[in-house]
Amino acid sequence: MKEQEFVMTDEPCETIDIKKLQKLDRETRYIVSSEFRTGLSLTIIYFIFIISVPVMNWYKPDWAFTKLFGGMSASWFLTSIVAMVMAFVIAYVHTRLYERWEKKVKALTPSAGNEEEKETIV
Amino acid sequence: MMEILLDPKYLFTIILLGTIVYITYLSKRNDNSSDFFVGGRVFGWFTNGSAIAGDYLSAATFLGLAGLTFSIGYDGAFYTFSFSIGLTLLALFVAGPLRRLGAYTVADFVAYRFHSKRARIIAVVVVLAISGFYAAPQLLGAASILSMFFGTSYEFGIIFTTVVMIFYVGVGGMKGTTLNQALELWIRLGAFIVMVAAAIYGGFHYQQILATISEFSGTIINTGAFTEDGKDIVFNGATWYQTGAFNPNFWHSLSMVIGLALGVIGLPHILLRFYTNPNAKAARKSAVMSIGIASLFFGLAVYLGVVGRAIFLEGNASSEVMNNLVTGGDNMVIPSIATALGGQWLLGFVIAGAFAAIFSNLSGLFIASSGAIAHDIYAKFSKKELTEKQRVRAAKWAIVFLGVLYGILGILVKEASIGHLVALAFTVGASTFAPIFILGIWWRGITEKGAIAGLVMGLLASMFMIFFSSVLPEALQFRVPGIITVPIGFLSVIIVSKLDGKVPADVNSFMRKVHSKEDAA
Repeated sequence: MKEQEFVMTDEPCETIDIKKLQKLDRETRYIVSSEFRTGLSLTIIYFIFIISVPVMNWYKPDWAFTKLFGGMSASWFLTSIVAMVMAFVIAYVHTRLYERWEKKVKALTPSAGNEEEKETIV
Repeated sequence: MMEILLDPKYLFTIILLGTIVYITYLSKRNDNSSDFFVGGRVFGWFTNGSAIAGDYLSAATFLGLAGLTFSIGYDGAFYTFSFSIGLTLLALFVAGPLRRLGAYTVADFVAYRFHSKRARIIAVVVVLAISGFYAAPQLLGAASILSMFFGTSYEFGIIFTTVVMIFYVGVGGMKGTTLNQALELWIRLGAFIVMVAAAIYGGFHYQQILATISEFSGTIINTGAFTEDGKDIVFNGATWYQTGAFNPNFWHSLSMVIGLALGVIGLPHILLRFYTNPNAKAARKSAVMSIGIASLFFGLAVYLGVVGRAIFLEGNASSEVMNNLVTGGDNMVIPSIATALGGQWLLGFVIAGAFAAIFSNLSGLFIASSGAIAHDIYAKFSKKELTEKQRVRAAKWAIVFLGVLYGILGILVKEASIGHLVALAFTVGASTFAPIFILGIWWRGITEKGAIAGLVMGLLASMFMIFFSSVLPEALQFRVPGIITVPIGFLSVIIVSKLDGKVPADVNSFMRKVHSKEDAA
């Protein structure tokens, strides 16, 4: 079956068996995979930190709640201060990496600046 | 009369309401449905980032998180930590692609992705379920604040807040709502910053007060006068300082992280905001901006909860403050700290901040739900072609209908826990829309039947785990049951899609649209 153009409508569209579906074109495949890889690698880093907090609290409470400076324990510090900074830093790094990646894509594919294409998206 | 008007709590609240009326009046011109539902897609990252944070930081966060830290200690901070994760995941996986699609409502995504009217109807049901569970506790919070500080009845509080919302959203549409939300965000963040400055100036240094609280063991002076049995309250700082008060084991903590983190990706009023940016780049920047603000806000909320506990343990605050901290419940902690640190003026500022939080969050829910009714149901299933004016009029009538519906819900949940209802909304979002949006954006193999199965199973599993989990073994009863319901939602989508195997024939074209390199231009 021939691939169809995406139109924003509820009207039923033909379906195709996933096994017979054509591969994505090379450029889109590259965009999707690099976008996903960036997000996934940052998520893995972020979630190692996030999951380590309850793991430490429940399986190493002596480490977690030993006072480090004043009354601030490792767990209080990670949960109430580092986690808040981390949430922002991960999102900020993602945006910066994305912008850098965009420049790379633009250099590789001249059609990136195509105004007509942009119009259809906005 | 003049004396009442100069009372800070009346003064700040009147200024807030006046500003809302003014902004709403200025932005009353909504010529078409794009203006009404997505504000004409003109908002840059700063305004929209502020509005997203305003939408996300509801009364439950403004009043509730500091209150939870005050009462249950570390687990309150952990609850806040779990809330802080979701917006980042949203920025990483959903914000940019969602904006590139360029739809109007959350249900649009589901309907267009699978070309399915059935999927649209089910998505609308989920939107209304999440919005209802989220709106009811906001109204409860508003009515409680009005009752506590202005002496009005609970029912009056619900009606008053609903009428303000119908005007605010019905007249201003998304334009007025966005500008009001952005302004309201800075009012409540300002209130927190002033409170933190006053606390630091008053000598409440984080490490020192944590040390004092953790070492405290015994009775708290000057509390007996406000307890039912007339005895001073006994407090054990070591228990408060550690985990276990709210989450009894590791799996409960993990379930909370999963439910609250993924729940944000499924909140319709947050998702909708990314449609209002002019492009995907602005959508991502808006997300980063809102994460920065929300993170700061969460960090300050935990600190203020600790300050509240320190003030309480000292027992030297005024009898009004001590009474509120003993009898007022979690939601009275922030107003009590404000009174203790800055007197009636700071209290007035905080009350205005609390109303700002409620109005901001409720308006987002009204816009998302009115879109679901007017755009997704009425306009899509109406037999005749509607003009732009008719679409806007339908949205306004939907807002009136929602006002009545939410008002009734607000009255019904008078005795419910705000935190429980909000957790329910997050659980439903995490188990329904989160799988559909993540898999729908990144996996070509998702089918219409898979999406419908995911929405239905996620919704049913969430409802069961919240309302009927008592029939399950104790080990499976979670306060935030994300660890059970989220895998059910994801697995339903994946398994049914794999079995079905019939994907829309335009899926490659869809992927090119939502992952285009538009921003590189």
